[in-house]
Amino acid sequence: MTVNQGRDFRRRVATRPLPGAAGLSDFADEAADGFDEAGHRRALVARGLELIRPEFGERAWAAFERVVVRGEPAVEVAHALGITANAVYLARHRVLTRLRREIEGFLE
Amino acid sequence: MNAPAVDDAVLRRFLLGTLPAAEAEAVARWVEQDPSATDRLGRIDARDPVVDAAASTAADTAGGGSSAPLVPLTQAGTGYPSDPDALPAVVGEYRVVRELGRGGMGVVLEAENAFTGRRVAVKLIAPGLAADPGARARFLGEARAAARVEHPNVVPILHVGESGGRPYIVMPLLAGETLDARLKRDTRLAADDLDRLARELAAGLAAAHAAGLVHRDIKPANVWLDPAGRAVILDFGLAKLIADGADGLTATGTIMGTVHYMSPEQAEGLPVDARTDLFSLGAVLYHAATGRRPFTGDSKLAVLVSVKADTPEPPEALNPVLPPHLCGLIRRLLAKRNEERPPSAAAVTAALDAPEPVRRRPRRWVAVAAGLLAGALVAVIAADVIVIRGKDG
Repeated sequence: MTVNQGRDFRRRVATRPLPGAAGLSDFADEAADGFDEAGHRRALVARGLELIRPEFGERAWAAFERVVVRGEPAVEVAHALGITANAVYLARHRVLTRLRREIEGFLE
Repeated sequence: MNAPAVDDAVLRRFLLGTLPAAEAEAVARWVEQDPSATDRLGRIDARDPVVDAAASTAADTAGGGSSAPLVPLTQAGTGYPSDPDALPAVVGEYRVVRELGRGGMGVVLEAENAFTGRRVAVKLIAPGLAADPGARARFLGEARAAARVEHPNVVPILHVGESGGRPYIVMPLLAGETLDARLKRDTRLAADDLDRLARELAAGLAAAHAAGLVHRDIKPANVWLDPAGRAVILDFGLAKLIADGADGLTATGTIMGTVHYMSPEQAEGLPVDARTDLFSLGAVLYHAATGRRPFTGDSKLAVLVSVKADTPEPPEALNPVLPPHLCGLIRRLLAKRNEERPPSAAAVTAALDAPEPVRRRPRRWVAVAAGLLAGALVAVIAADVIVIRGKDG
């Protein structure tokens, strides 16, 4: 069953509404109007972040959230969390690497 | 340690999260050990559409949550350790003995009652989830409702409380193992065990649903099997804490860990009711019956797409000795639309108790089926007779 799924996977993904932050059918209507690529990517990333979050410890996630999502300088984030700036960069690297693996195949 | 001979392009990819694993490992080690890495990394502008998309999710988070202060690393006066990842020595009236396990929602500790010496399991909620007073209050309310459910197939909750600002629940220390561990070892269950599992889980769910609770995270890791083989459902009331989580990111999801047993409505982020637990029950029974999860994928998102869109292979095709009444039940539980599932856990129990399947087909079909069955019996009997004749003749 998994093998069959794999073959059809990309075709299926291309023909059905793709996952969004609120739900998988988020963009059923949007697809009719014309495709909002940035909005789609944003919803996909938000959903991906939700899904991978349990895999990270408190501080690593907080570091990522502050430095990437909120755009705070790494040195300030490090100071606020009581960790080194290097640790902040590592957290950023690990979360983004994991995120890309999660949404791989959904970004065209 | 010398900086590896990496140029800014490599470092940029490192910060973007697009560097292949082997290279990333080397760079990561350098970053961990060399303080000068900070300066170099700080000078690199690493943005691409994915990073920009992540940055724009900030606009989606509500006023609380992300901008709410994290539990400070030191909490003077509370006896709480300065490292939130370290274990407290005491939780309420229990002395912590050791850590039993750790999950997305918190840590499970073995602890001893300071007065009675009784050993218990204490589930301590992760600090980040408990930072919001509203979430804490909701969790405590839910946990107290769960504590009122008394049923052999639902884990008893002995106590609910707060320690160092973190909610905790106290359960008896159970002997046995999770269904998850059992399936990893035995791959699947025999027919009798499967039937018993179905009955007991349905009964436990019915009791909790009757008390107004929805589990939302039914999965093999949340089913405990005691040494007598009795199934006990763990963690009622806890998945909701995550659903009402402190920040906007988790507001729509109950993404606790594995997504393989989630219902389509959960995958969609739609509101759920007790029938969501029935779908998950179906997925658990499917796995226990066939040794395989009904929905799979290369990533969590892919699994959720599969949950929404795929029809799993009929369980009897993977396990020919599966009792027919369980085949039908599993299929009905895995209906994508909740109105097509059995209406309640109590209805599932009734269906399992009934000696014959609940008649949903028109009588004509039943008559035809009975005729076929009778024909099959005749054929079997005839074969026996023929064999006997063959032997003699």
